[in-house]
Amino acid sequence: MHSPLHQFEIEEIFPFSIGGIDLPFTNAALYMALSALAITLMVMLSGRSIEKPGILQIFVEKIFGFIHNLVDENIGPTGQKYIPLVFSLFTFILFGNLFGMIPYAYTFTSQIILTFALALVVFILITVIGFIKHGFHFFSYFMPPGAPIFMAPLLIVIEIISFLSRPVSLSIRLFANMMAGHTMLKVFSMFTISLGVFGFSTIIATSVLIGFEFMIAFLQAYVFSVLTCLYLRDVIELH
Amino acid sequence: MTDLQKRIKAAQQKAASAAQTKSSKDSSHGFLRISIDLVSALAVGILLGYFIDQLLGSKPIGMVIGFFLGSVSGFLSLYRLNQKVKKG
Repeated sequence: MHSPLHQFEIEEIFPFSIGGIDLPFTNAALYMALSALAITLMVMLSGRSIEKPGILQIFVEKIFGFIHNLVDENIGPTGQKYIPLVFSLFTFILFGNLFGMIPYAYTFTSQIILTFALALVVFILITVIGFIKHGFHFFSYFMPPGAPIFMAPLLIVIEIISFLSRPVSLSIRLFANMMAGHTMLKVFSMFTISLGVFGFSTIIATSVLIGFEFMIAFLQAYVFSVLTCLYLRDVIELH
Repeated sequence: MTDLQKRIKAAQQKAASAAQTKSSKDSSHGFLRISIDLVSALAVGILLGYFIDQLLGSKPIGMVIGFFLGSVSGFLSLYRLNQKVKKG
């Protein structure tokens, strides 16, 4: 029997290297490519019919409408141009989480380097947008309005720490939730074997946990995109 | 075609009303953020202090100050979330 953490091990499928840099195609990369392909196909193959939308078209339009509402509520009417970004992030994370729920599949969102890369994309984006929109006035973001000026050295450091902690908290939240959920599922299903005849009780618990894990898969994708929207609004409105 | 126009008008009205009741749903996910926000601000503060120590060679001082500033920053984000939940 494998250990509960065995499911997070990265295995090489075929080796590959460019100019001495080792870039093997791994099982994580396989599922990343699969989910990117699935999203692209899903959006491309959904019809463009107004009178008779197919089931796939309704599905894609529901997701798009959901993201549209999310951006409208959290950024405001000026946020329309960020819909493609939030839509891509949401669907990529959602498909990664849901592919991970297939038995024997690999959950790539349980790798901290991937979630950190996604969070870093958001972080660099909000910094760049802040500088483009406000120029050097963006630095006033680090000084809360109405605070006395002699508090500035302390407050600015605290605000910078809070700004820098955004990608860290964003990435750790997604990674920790996915990894903890999958480890817990594995541990509970191992109890089924070791309990013998009484294993049916843990089978019930595991099936409830699987439903819970599906909820977490949706919720974490949702939370990631909501926080992206909130950070974007913070930077666009500047206080 | 009139049906489509009617639906467009309905959608526009919905958008206008949604803009008025903006940020009423902010609190629903708020409490999921608290714990990790607190810890990550602390971690960033300590790491920042550590790197400043490495740079200046002032070994324990930067990390201690970073610890305090990080925890203040974590509690500040907790406080702001609380204010937002109260308002919304």
